[in-house]
Amino acid sequence: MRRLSVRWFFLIVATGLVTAYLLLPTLVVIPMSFNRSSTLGVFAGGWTTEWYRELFTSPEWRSAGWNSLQVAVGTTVAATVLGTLAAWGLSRNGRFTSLVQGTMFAPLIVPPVVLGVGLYTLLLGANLTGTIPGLIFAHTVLALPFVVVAVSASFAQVDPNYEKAAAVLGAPPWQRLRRVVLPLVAPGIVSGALFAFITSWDEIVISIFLTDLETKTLPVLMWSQVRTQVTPTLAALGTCLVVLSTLALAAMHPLGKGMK
Amino acid sequence: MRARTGRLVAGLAATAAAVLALASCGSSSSSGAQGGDGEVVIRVASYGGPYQEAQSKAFFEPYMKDNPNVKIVQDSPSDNAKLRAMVESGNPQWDLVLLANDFGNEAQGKWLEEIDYTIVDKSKLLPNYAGKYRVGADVEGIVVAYRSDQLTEAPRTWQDFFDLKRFPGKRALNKFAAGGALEAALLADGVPQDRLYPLDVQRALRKLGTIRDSIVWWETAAQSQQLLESGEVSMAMVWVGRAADAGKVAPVKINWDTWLSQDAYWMVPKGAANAKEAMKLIDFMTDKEPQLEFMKLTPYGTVNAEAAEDPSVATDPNRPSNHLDTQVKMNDEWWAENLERTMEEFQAWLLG
Amino acid sequence: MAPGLTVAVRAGRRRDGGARRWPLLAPAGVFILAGFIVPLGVLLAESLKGGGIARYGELLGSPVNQKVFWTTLRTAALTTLCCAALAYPYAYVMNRAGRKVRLVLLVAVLLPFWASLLVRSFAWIALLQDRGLINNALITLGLIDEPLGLIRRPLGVLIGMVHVMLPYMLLPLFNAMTKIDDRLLLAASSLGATPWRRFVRVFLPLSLPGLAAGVLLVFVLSLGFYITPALLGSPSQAMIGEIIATHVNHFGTATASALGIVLLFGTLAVLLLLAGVLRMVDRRTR
Repeated sequence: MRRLSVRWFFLIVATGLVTAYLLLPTLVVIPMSFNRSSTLGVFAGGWTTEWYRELFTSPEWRSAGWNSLQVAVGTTVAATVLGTLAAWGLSRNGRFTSLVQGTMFAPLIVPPVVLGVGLYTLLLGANLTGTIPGLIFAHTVLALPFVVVAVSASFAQVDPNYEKAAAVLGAPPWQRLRRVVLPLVAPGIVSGALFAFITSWDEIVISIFLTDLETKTLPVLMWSQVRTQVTPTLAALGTCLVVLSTLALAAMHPLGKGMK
Repeated sequence: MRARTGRLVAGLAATAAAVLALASCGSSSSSGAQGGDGEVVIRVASYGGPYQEAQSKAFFEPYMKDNPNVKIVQDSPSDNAKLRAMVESGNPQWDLVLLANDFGNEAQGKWLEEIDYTIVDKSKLLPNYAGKYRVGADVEGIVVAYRSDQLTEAPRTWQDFFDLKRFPGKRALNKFAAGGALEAALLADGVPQDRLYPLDVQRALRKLGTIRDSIVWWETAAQSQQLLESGEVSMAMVWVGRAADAGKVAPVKINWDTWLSQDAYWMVPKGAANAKEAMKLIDFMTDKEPQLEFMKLTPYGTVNAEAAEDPSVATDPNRPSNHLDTQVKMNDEWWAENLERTMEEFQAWLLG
Repeated sequence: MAPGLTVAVRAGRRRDGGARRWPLLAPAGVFILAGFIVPLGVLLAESLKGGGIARYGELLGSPVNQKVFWTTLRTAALTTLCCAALAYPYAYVMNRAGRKVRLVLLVAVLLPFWASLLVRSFAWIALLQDRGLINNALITLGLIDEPLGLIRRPLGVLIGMVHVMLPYMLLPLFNAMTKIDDRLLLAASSLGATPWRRFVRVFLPLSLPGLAAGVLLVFVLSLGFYITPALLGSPSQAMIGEIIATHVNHFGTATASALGIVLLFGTLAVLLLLAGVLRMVDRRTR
């Protein structure tokens, strides 16, 4: 199947270019993190490791990292569970499907700054501002649509006969879910969970409203740096994460069974 | 069948709830306004970053040392929208806020407490920094900074900013309508300083139009600094702190003959639980010694009249408070009333 | 979402009909209700305070707003198109490649996520500006004399936005492709179909659910997105999200809420339209 035809030549070149395009800014971040200049985007003044030092020794960065992690994990779990259930429900075509779908996607459409003000007022009344659960709640609302979209796409390719066959054979819903449905839509769930995590991890706007000093997340900390001045500690953080995730993904390779 | 599905859902919901409960164990309760017996908690919000660290060293820590029953809890970043939302909800989370000169004017009075000048001593402050709803925190500024390696002569006047022949290269301007671009344009067009307000917006836009293609608009402090440091622009109107920092790694100089006011002010949200204590803190922070301490750590100017005379400050060529004679004061009250309308005009011009 | 739903599901509607799905949708529904509908209701009330329905008319009629809405729509559409064009071949190669290559390609897609949005945007500035890395490299190599205008133009915005959105298009697409049974392709070959025909008639339609999901996600995200365009574009390419953020920061929520609600309902209308069109196409190709 994989003869080196002209078609394949172009495909490989295209893929190579897109890969370079994807990686270029990420790779640029690495030298930025070692550069002495106190603004990102400029290379001047020699090289230094002081940004890394600040990253690892400053309690502010560490607590922000821990907060971000907690919130992101909580959001991912909540959004994945709720979103998968919702996508399952949506896969059974009934009345109002479009309407329900639209409502599910709506949080993606409204600019977060508008939603942020509304959520802030709401949570302030419930005394949930500046708390981790409050943040998880807000982020889950934002992350749900991603999960629903990703899992729904997987559901669209699943032959419902599998599930029906299992039902006919007497399997209860819990077993049906675990043994038939979930394995079939697993790729969608993984994508959805990933998007949910990233959404929470990177979320700035609403988090500015909903965090206080103790619950500050990484993006909020970074934003306050960018507003006043920029220290390439951001770049140091980015580089660390990039290295970490590369190692993690590489480690998964021998363990994983491959994607097909 | 329906019962089983119901149980399934209930089980999953319980799991989710358990996770949330676990997560909340890790979080701390939101700080309240009252501490233990007699302890007073002042919740302060400022810009964050190195700026707030300097404030912490110069103001908050010494104050807590002098007043052991006071605990100062810091938050950041301070934000106009967040302040308004919290006051309107009736439960302000901050007792003291630092915001820029676009806030704290008469138009924003309904969200702020009036400053009690029996607690804050007005007489020690430089003129104009004791407002009805706000007290000056430090003197900043919007300055014309330039790359001395890209220009053969140094700019001196407002017209020089608009002269692309003698001073080639791009210009950086703040995209915010009240960021100084309009004032600069009018002054360059020959409007005398005392007749600047009310701003003739259309005239300013026409003048800006003459260099339109050479303008690079910036929105964040980081951007403005980056533009100067990288040499992408040869002249820029930026905040003085950014120009100073850029000057540390690149040949950037400041022209002190032409600059606009830009300040940070302390304000007290309306309904704050510890308003009086917050004002006592303001009084401390505008005293001579804390102000001198603050200036050791930052490039900004002081609002305290005595501190301004102090030799360590007076001899520093880049201290904004040493150049108040050439400062063009922005009319915050005019801006507070006309910001929305002006922004719309400005926006339309930017898009067109 | 309509393409890909088989006839069997529609027939089965009678059996496991609407009654069974609501418990599944309920938990998510509660979240959306409490976390989204309610705050939005609060905002709707806010937006009407500033002058009622008449305000909406004003906002929609203003030429400034119209231009911004149009720019937003155009940028989102272009971004979606470019993402689809770039992502499809990439996902195809990923799908057909061996395990090692696939992993490398996957890492390339996921890695940008880890360098946060702010950091990435500044990296693009460092790359694209007149004195940036790309221009400096090209000038040093002697390929150009004057720097290319890459930044502060629609091109720069597109480059930045496509970079941010690409993973959101790629992953659903890739997932969909993994589900395509190789045997179908084999069968088509053995029946005499040329590779091109096999691709157009078998592979492409089967990958459509993934493409649809990606298109939906990217388009909708691009509409509300403004941080990267603000940093890489010029003010004449301002997007609606930026306008709304400025309003919230300076004037309070009345106008901002109104604009946000206009955006929301406008987008929903477009989506409903698309869904209807897709369903018609779906029905006709059966």
